[in-house]
Amino acid sequence: MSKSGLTPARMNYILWAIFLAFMIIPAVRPIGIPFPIGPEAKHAYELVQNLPEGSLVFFSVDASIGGWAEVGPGGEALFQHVMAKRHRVVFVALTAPDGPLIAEQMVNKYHVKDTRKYGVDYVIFPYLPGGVTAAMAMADDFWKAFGKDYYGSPLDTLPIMKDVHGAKDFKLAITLDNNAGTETLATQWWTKYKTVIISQTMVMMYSWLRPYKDGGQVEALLSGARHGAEYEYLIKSPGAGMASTDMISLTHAGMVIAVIISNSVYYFVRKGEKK
Amino acid sequence: MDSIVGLSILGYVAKMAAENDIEITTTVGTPENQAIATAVVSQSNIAAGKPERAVDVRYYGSQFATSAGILGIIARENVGANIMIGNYGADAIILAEAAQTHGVMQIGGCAVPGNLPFFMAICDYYLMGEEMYAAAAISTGNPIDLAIIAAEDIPKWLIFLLVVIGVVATTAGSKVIQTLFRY
Amino acid sequence: MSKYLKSLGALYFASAIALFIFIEYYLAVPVLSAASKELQGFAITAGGFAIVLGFTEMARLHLTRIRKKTAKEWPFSICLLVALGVITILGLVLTPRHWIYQTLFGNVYTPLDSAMYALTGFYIISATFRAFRIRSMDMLIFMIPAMLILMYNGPIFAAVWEGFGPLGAWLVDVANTAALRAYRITAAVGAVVFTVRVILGIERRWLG
Repeated sequence: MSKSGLTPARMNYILWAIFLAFMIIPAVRPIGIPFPIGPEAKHAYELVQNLPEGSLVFFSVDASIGGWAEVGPGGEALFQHVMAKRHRVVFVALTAPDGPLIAEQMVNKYHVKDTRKYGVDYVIFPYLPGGVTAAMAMADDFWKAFGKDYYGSPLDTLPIMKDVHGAKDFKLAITLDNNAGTETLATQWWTKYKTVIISQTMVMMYSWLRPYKDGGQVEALLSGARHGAEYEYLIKSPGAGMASTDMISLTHAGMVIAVIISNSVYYFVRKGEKK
Repeated sequence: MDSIVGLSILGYVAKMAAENDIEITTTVGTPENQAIATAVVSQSNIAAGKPERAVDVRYYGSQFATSAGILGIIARENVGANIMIGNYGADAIILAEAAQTHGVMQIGGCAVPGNLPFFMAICDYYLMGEEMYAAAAISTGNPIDLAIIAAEDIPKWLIFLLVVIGVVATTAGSKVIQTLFRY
Repeated sequence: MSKYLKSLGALYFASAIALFIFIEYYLAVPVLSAASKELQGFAITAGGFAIVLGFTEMARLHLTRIRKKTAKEWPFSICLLVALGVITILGLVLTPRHWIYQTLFGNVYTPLDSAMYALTGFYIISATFRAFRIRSMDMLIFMIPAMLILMYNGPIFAAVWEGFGPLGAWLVDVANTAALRAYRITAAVGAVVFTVRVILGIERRWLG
């Protein structure tokens, strides 16, 4: 390759330009490549769908804004579904300091205030540092863990909080997980209180968290924007997930082709050198 | 836990750097670790007999703010080696690849398996999972620590036996192992 | 108090608290549980103070760089301190619920953070292109499942042949998960042993 002046750095730039095109083209002109709906998304959908109306749902936004592209589509779809089913939602952030801001953004984006009342139907709590310690504190005594909500209101002024004392009061826990949110909930909430958990995580964390699914600690494990797209399809609300499936398809296809090309070139160069 | 391992290895590396008059820049991802890392590095300088050496510990804020800061260090400060030990997220590939582009020697270690493929593909040396904990023990040179590392094999063999017995028992239709370990 | 005594005191304190929380987790004694909750509250409070500590250390470091006009560094330090100051003052005076703060968060911080995360994709592409070379039989055995999982994750391949779905799912859910389970068990054993070493004071370097 050095003979043609194609240095590794130049090769990188060419690759990045090609893949940038693969990402931009479907964003500008959607292709509409079909995708199958898998059992995980269906199971998560049924868990939310079958809850009695008005059930308390623990919604932990543990993803930072940086990872929102992967976790966000599924997270927003779960959020919309939970709100549409008129469940009561308690938003917290176990591991991501910008969790409450993201929760607020979702509330504003989907105009939740038009149909649901803050303090009655949903409440947002500030980030509680400590990770596992914070999860344990919330599970045992929610009121002691949080003196006030995200807006500074005392908990006794929020009607929803009359039914919230600890983990045993929640029918479902959802975590949008970039790092340690799922493990924290599975070890601290499921172990003691058998809380039903849905986790929307990143693709690279899926296999790591799979044992929790197989062990029954996590009921449904969604990974990446693809499962988010499937969930959007199930709730009939197309969003960033479905929009990104074309990009996912093209970039993955490009990756396979790039690996084949790189190995072919490597093979022929090595063959030439041996001669 | 990964952070504590990273701090342990930092102590060893900082002492070696002090003994050989090599500049060491430490970056941390959480504010709690900043004070601890500063104490670890200054203690290592004292242990190496060079208490007057500067302590350079930097904290940049959130995960990707730290990544951006480290990218700047790699690009501007003529870095020779990059040691990444601790709890890394998606930023591991960014740092490793950027350092690779600058021809920096790299050692990576993370217990989170999501980053393993990146460390394996890019770093010159990598520590997988419990190798990090073993490295922290070995770097002390303490016979007790080394004995503990060797003794770790005993619970691993017990778990292996349990897994084999569990697989055989479950395949044969018995639920005894599952009942034994039910919560 | 000598430094040695200070570190010993910190060690004994940390060990005692860790042992207490560990024992309380397995015993259902109300008095212990109440004390444990109080300690957890202290830990959460300490975490909050640590953020303040990080803030002041960061400000101190970058102010020093500006004062010494460290080559190539000081302009970035100015940018950092300006951003730090603006967000802090806005957050304290106007609160994070104010539209200015929300605008800065949504239109400045969010795109910057997302852009950094997006870099991951490009770096993975170049790393994969460089590292996925079949140099030996081992690499060939490694590459075939890797390619199959790539195809499983890309919906376009399922549209071409539906077999990629079950095949990829088996590789991810069974083969990959089994290997990671073994990895997780050994890492957990290592973590438990390391924790015991820290609690018992055998591992002390983290104290400084």
